[in-house]
Amino acid sequence: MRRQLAWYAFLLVGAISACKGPERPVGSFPEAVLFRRGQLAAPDSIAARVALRERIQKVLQKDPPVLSLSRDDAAHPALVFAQDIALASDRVRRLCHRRKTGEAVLCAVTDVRPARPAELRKANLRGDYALVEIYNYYYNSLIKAFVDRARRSLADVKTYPGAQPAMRRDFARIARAIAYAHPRVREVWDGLGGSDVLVRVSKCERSRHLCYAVVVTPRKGDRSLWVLVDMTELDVIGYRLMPRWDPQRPQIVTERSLQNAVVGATCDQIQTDSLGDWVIHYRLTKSDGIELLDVRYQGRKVLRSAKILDWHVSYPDRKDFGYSDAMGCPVFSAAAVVAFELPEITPIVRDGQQVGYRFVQDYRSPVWPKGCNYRYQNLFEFYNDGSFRIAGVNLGLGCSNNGWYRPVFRIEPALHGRTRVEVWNGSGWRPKGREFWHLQDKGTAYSRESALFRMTGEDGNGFLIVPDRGQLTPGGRGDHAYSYFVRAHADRDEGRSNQPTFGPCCNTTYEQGPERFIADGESLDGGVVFWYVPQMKNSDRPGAEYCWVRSYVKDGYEAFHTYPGTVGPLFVPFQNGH
Amino acid sequence: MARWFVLILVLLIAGVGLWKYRHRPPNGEMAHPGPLDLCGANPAFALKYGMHPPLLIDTRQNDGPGLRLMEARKGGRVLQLDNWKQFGYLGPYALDKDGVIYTAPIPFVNLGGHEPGYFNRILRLDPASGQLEDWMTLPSPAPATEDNAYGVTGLAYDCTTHTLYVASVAGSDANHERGRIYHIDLKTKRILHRLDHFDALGLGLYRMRAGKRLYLGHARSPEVFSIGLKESGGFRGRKPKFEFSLAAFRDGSYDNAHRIRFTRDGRMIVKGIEFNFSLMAASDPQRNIYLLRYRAEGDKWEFVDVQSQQE
Repeated sequence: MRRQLAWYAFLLVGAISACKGPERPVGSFPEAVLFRRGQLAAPDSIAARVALRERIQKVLQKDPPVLSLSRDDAAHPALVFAQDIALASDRVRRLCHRRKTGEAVLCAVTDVRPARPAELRKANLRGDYALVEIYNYYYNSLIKAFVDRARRSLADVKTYPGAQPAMRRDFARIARAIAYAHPRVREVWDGLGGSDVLVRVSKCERSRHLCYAVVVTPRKGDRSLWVLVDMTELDVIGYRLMPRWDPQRPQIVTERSLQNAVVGATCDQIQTDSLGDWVIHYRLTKSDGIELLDVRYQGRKVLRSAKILDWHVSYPDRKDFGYSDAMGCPVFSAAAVVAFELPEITPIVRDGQQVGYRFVQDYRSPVWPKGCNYRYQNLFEFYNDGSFRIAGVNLGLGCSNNGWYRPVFRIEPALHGRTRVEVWNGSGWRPKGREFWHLQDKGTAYSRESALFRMTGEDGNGFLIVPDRGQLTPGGRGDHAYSYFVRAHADRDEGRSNQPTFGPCCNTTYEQGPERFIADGESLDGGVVFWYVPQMKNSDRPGAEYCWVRSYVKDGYEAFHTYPGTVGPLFVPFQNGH
Repeated sequence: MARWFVLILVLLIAGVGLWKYRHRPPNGEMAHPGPLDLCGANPAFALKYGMHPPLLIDTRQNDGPGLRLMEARKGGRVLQLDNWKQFGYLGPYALDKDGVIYTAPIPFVNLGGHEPGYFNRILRLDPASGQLEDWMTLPSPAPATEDNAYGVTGLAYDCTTHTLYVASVAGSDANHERGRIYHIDLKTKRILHRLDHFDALGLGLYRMRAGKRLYLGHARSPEVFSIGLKESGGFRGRKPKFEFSLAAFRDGSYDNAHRIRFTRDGRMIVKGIEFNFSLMAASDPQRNIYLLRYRAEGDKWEFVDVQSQQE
């Protein structure tokens, strides 16, 4: 009998162990991961999520456009009547519409409860009130409607920008389902073994969306999995492994902390990617944006380095007012406009054919697109035919519609031996033996390949440099660039290392910074560094926006339509002088 | 034997009494819980320019570098002398009992043409002349670099000792927390005490029932710490104690405690912003104001509220 019991116990233990599933050590997963925003990372098959999206679309057709709270999900069912009173009022109704245009914006009742004494004091009310808490998705604000419980009437309405709403139980269930549905999250989640799951409100400080954190804590072990869910876009932002919750010293994951942890870890770390026939090395520098390093096409090095050191921003109607904006790391850097996300690489498709790869790294001021906030991008294009483009993108907004932007590019092509530099003069290629600068203006002539410069190595291989005149990017307005050709000196830095800032913000002449490396009479006999400073003027004219951004209502929340300004030259390779 | 025992006992009591006398609060009023910087006086020169107290000090950088003095009323006058712009953008400030304003330059958007080590200094605005001058450059545990150009990040004045507490993060980098808190005698400019290996932003002084405490906003996390102070101003121990996390409060964000102020009626007001040792700039910065209230029962701070402050 005893032997039988022991055997059954053994089987039982074995069965339980088998049911827990394989446990992968927590340490084998990345500590913090960001997923791409705006792309449905989680499958659209989550029933609760689909249902909520449909419900939102229906609610947006109603007035007021409010997701009400069901009795089942209310913490105080007896007070749910107050919700109807609040939603019937004109004041609440107006708050769920966009101020400028009157369009419906999504609101959701997040709580109906007795008003707290501190809330009543703030609202200058005395008595017995129910509080109807309503979250406004568009303005990321909290509306508090005070309802007199005895009189059953609305007493007052207050709005609190940036305040967090209470968590809705139905939203918490949806957040958990969205989190678990993401394959990468599920892998970590299941790897923790038996665990407790808690959903709590978190903060999305930068996107200004409604966000929840799904916290998965294993019953054994010292780590917890925090999954951040964007409840405005109904998508997973990312996850982070944190120390087990300690109420004496609570540590929270928010959008800001997660982004800094992920992107900050890549600062100055050289990454490598293979893109078809291309192999690129790159790093997120402290304050020179993404620097491309050692770029190879079909095994041959074509580019030593390329980066944008600064964006010079000036406003001619305000004397000496402007900035030299450095892009770069979000932590421990001299960057003024920083990376919140990792770079994105996508195929370039034309007429149904993939013709290359596009690499984009985004940088923002924290509250873009509010006034005097900026958003820039590094844009690199690598084509199957060996040509490549080094570009910068300006997505507004800036301090006014009279802004001038001059990004400073430093590009060091990899050519064999001494480099010959030539300029197209309208009828042929004219060699330039000495360091010089050049302005691309209305009178500039271009070769039949649309090139302005030609750089050739000793082996006869080289590049045509094609500035943008509007032909390289849809809606492009041309580079109007200052170009500088400077001899590369191995024993001089001359912009090679990370520059916290470079050149004055507000000059309108060739004096943008690189001219300091041009010495009178210095020959271009050797390697050459190419500096390029395009000039862009923004515009907010309707139908002709450029380097601009406008808000609009998307599914009830605030989204942005950008009008990018893209500048930068295309390098077209040739061999044996042709 | 009994005589010796009595003698030792008397000496012991006398010794304790003397110790307590030497460590007594310098001012009877200051023995009660309350802020330690309320003696700050309006600078006299401001009256010559027609400014009427009470005055506020403004270093928000809204209209360019330097600081401004503002009358604390709607539509009040604003004063900015040209001399106040020479050091670039300014950040933390403290006001002493004589109306001296201490402040420090900060990098804003870029380094303004300065070397990274430039920002590890204290400036003094003379209350009589209204002139802003370089007052003291602080030592740094490691050379400043472009990866962290910040120097002085917080200032707090102690009325009871006429001394200044100064937070500096100079020399810190991503992997090494080398920040220091200096305790400086304002008469002699001598560094009296120093606390190492803590990167602080906001500083604030408060007398709790159990004694003086210096509150420190951590530059690397949303946490606020505190450390006990002797009556003479020295630090009690070497490690600040965790008090609370701004991110853990309802409506809290992953902010850093940038300014810590106390009011006469027992409130702690913490201004939270994003700080990452970068020069990331934003107009209309997202500031959150965290309010805590002192509770005599328990001699502790209790969270009340946080509000988003848009400019």
